[in-house]
Amino acid sequence: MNGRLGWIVALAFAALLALPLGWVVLASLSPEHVLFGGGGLGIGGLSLEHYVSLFARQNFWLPIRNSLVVASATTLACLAIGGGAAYALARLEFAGRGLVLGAVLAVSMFPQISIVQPLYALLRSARLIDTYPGLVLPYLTFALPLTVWLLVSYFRQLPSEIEQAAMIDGASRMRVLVSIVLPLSLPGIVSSGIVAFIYCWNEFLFALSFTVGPERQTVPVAVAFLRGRHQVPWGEVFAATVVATAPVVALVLAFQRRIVEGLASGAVKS
Amino acid sequence: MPHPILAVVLCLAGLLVGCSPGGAALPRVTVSGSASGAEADVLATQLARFRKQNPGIDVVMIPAPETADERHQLYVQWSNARVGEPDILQLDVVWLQEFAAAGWLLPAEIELDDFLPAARAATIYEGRSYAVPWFVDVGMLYYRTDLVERPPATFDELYAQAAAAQERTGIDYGFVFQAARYEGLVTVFLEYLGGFGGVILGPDGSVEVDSERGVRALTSLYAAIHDAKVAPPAVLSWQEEQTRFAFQNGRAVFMRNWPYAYSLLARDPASKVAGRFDIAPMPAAPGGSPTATLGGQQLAISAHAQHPELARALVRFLTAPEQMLERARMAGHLPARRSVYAHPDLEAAIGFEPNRIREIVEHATPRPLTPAYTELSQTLQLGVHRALTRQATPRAALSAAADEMRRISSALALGPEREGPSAARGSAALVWVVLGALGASVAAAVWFRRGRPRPTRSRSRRARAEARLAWLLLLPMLAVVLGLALFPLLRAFHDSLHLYDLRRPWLGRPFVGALNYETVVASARFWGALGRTLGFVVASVSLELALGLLLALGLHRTFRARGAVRTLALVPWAIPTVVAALTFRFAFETQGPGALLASTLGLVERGQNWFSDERLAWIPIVLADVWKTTPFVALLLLAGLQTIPKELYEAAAVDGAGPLQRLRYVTLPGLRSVILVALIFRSLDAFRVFDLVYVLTQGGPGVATEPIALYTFGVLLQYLDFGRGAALSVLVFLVTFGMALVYVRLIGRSEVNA
Repeated sequence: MNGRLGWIVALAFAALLALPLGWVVLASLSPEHVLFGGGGLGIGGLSLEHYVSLFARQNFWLPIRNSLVVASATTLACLAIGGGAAYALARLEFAGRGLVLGAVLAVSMFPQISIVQPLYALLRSARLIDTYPGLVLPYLTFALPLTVWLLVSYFRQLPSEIEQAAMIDGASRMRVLVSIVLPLSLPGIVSSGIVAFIYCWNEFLFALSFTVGPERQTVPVAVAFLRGRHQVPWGEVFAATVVATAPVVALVLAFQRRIVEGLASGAVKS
Repeated sequence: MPHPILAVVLCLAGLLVGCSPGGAALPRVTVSGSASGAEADVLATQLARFRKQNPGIDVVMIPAPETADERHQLYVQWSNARVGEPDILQLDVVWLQEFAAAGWLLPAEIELDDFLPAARAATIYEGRSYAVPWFVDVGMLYYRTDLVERPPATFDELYAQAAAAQERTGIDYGFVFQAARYEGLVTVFLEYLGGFGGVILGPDGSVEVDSERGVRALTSLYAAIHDAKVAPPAVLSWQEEQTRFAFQNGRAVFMRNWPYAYSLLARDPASKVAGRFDIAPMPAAPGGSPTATLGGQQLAISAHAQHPELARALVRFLTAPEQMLERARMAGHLPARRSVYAHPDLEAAIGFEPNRIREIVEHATPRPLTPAYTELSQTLQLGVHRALTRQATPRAALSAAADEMRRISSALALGPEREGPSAARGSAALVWVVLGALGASVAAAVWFRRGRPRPTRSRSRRARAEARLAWLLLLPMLAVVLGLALFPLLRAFHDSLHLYDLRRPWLGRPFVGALNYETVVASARFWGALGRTLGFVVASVSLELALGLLLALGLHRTFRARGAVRTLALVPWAIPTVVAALTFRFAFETQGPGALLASTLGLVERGQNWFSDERLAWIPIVLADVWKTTPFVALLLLAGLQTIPKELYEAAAVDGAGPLQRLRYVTLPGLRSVILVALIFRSLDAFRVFDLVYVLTQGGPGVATEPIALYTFGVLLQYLDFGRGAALSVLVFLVTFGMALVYVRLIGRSEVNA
């Protein structure tokens, strides 16, 4: 395979990836009669009518707020709980480390449908169905192992010489963790947090199971329920699609290098 | 019931703000209803009027999904989660028994003498009335007076007239009706069934739908699409409005629909058939009689209502004669009160002579009145839809559905005192099998861990302090993992051995041994779902690995473009699965770009309905999955490629190896562990597939695309059979665990070999 073939593959790849996305953006801006005119979509006569109706008629701010609250709260909780745990797993010597690491990996591969029933029963008896904690707690089951896994592989990349030097100078482990490791690993923490945020933003099964109405529905559930009684308001669906996708795409574009490194190193090294 | 582990976790949750609606100054009554179209307008008008008359009450409308099945699921979840709002539920007539039996409704305690007897009967559960009829619906035949001289008396005559009119005028469709897989399909089938003299349940409540008459009725319905070909295959995904649009645009000779369509067809400025259509009773076959399915909605008060008396006042207001007349005028809904039929303004309101329809209404056929109706109907929907989409013959589909319906009916009668002990004894063996499987998996895990060299530990003070710090740092995470993942799993196992049906709380939760597992294992739908899921895993993961490898090899050679393409490749990975699913749904709608492309290339016929064909429906699902995840697999493999030392290639080139040999002997061995990791992650992920199918096909046609996760979700949150759902959860977990174990062994071996 020579370089030219490589370029062809790369270009075809890029086109296949971008085509549906570009098409959706265009469709969301096309008036209803163009969308169902049978002809192709054009860039003439674009309008924002679907976006206006999405926010004015469907009150799409509500699911956006819910998603932001739930995803941010889960991400912060994951970083707070997972940061220390990941450091322990990456750097500290103790019996049972392999077992804990294995358990974290196992839980991250859990089939989520397996715990919908018991979680529903528990949340119901705690009266947490259709509340923010009622979503954040289930979300921890997949976001926390993921965060820990990413952070462990990040911590392992950090050179340990600085920490050892500090400890020789008499600093405690805790002190090292707070004043050396934390500042050094900020980029890794940010990128792990972003990955966790994206997973929470996109989650569907738990959000569908543990909310009961528009008050607490997250963006993916709201998008899926936009279908009307007898027909799908495709224009609004496309607008909602763009709105649901824009934040994660923005995050990915801004942090792509770190995300790729984090995800790839986790997989290649494991 | 306090669980110690849960308590820890809840403390964590306490840190997050739990918002609950604050108390309003005025007493608040909430009513759930349709949020779009004329229905929403009439409700908004009437609520505004009520507010004006009762300034001391704050009335709020909570929008509910429009489709009956989705609204049902939401109401079940609301009631089951015991949320206090909405106070007033808008119930379909077929839900009342289920909701009343579960204890989710307050008795209506409103005078019902003036209401039509059939509508009134549909509010009664065990001798008490739990709702007030709001409006009634009956199935009718709409026909074009300019194309047909007189309405048909038999189904055969209907097909002949439709075919003749199509032949003569070239009109697109002969006959359109609702044949998507939803409740509407049962109402149409019930009209055919009655037309052939059959019934769903006999007078004693036994399932009789698979009688000879039933088979003939289904065969006739099938013939409309596939033999007489007067109905387009598109009806297999049509609900009411698609049929109305077809008829209203002058594209159909006959339509089966509800009364609401009449005023729209007659008055909508966009209607092309105003003045050129009429209504008639549905036809019948010799030996049967014309049958109209009784439908309609009722207003009921939730058992968790905060202000039942105020809610009752609002229900009384909304079901008063003036309101019903207005509703008939604005939304075309037939009144449920007899006195309104005598009102001089009704004819002007609905557009036709009321007594013509009152006759039909008074003889309309209700659907079976049983608390298990929803589950019975969903089973029947699947069977009928399977026959209409040619996945089984009418006889085979109907008899399979009837067997399942008999099982549901007998489970309904199951009380712990009647069957509990014997069921437990008979199935003790299965309990041991499941316990054994759990034990074996633990043993296998332990066995896998043995044989690894253990690091020698020095027991210095420093090391002990380090270990203590480590556990301290790990504690919060362990609490979450144990409390929210492992403990629930054990709880699922516990629940799977008990009768635990949220719709029938009065049965309690007795131990039933392996009864739930027996039910699951005996169900063809379970094995079908499991097989389909595994098939999906194999198809999509092998496509993704093959394409991903190709892309990674291509990208490995292009240095300058790599960064840009890499960024782009992350986008499909990051977008919500629901969004990808919707995009591919639209692409493969009959007029969508993907469907048009495929028919232009000659792959399928023009106008092919992708979502009513049991094989074609898989294609958008697999394509969406491949589109979304291949780039990510390619990125993983690309990272792996970059770790293969260049010297290896150079050495191979010196030895005279060609490009294919280098791929075979250098690249693939070097990628082995990365490929395995990608394989594990992707196949465990594909095994969980839920979002894609939920949005793309809902598992249809029939259950042809239903994966195990969607089936389990349905048992849990639609049927609310938590015992059976727990058994499914445990089985799904065991399959996943087995897959993971095999893979982990594979990786371990590859590491040893490498």
